[in-house]
Amino acid sequence: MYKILMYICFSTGHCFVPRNDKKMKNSQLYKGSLNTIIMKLLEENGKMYGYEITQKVKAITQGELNITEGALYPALHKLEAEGILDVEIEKVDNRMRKYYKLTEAGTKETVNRLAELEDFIRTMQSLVNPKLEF
Amino acid sequence: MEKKLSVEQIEYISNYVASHDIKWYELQLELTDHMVTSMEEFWAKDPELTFHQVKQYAEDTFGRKGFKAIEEERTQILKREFRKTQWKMITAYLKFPKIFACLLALIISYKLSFYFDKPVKFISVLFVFLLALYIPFMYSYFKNRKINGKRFLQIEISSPMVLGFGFMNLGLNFGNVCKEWVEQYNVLRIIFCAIWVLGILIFITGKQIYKNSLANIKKQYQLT
Repeated sequence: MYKILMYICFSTGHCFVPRNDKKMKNSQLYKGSLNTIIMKLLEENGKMYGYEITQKVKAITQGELNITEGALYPALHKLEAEGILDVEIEKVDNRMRKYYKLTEAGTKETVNRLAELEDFIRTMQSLVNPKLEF
Repeated sequence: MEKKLSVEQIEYISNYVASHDIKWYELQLELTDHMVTSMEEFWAKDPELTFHQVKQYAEDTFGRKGFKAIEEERTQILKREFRKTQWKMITAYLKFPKIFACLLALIISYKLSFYFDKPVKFISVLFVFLLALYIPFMYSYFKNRKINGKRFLQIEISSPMVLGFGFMNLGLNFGNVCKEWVEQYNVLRIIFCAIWVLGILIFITGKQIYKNSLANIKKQYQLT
């Protein structure tokens, strides 16, 4: 379910680059999904850094989709500014690394946003393909 | 064995990121780490690649506009969030029970205006007083502009400079333009007093946001 959800969300946003360059026409529909996906990944993995998030998405979607750096960092910075994410700095291999993790408010918000996204997908599914069930 | 970047190479990358006019430490740190990790990944796939080749491949992932676009986006995000937070804090002062403090300040300043023979003189005093409030705030800003030699965009955005001078200018210039009307119509004195109270609220909330940002940055980056 989660994988399908991820695929649907990722396959259309202009901030993602599908491997075979197949972009759906109406990317606006899914523009807002990136934040929810980041939150979901952080909920599952505790703390992550930018590069790790891009690689994780690639791995989950088996290389089908890449989050571009130009979309990832603004999304992370926005969530940080909104108080959904907190930042932790650690020294790793002779350099400083910025980790992101969910705040208490962010954890609650993740539940809400995922529920909202799942509702949206279910509604769209029932409209587009009523025979197919998740 | 996996190929890793040496300390000198990491420093080179850090300087390279900074050379793209990325002067904020939080971004320098994040982009350098991203570049270095990405370069090491390229090396893991093909150890024969040179340092400059992997650097180029890693940089290409940032797209045409590169690092600067990320900085510009971050600036806009922080500005928007600053305005949103400040507005939220100001509106809290316009609700019960804090509104009484605002009304009291408004009434006191209005009553005080009658102790001055010329209302325009009173308006000048009000707004110069507001500027005086900003002076220690500005001092703190200049003192903490660089923490351990590092500059942070989050601190820069919550700078008191623009609002402080902006409000003083608005009060003084507007007072000067309307000086004849202010002498004739008492209602204009109330309007100036209300603007002044708003200036005070902007000062209080701005100072609070700035203090929080500073404490947050120091905690996150373990700076003293």
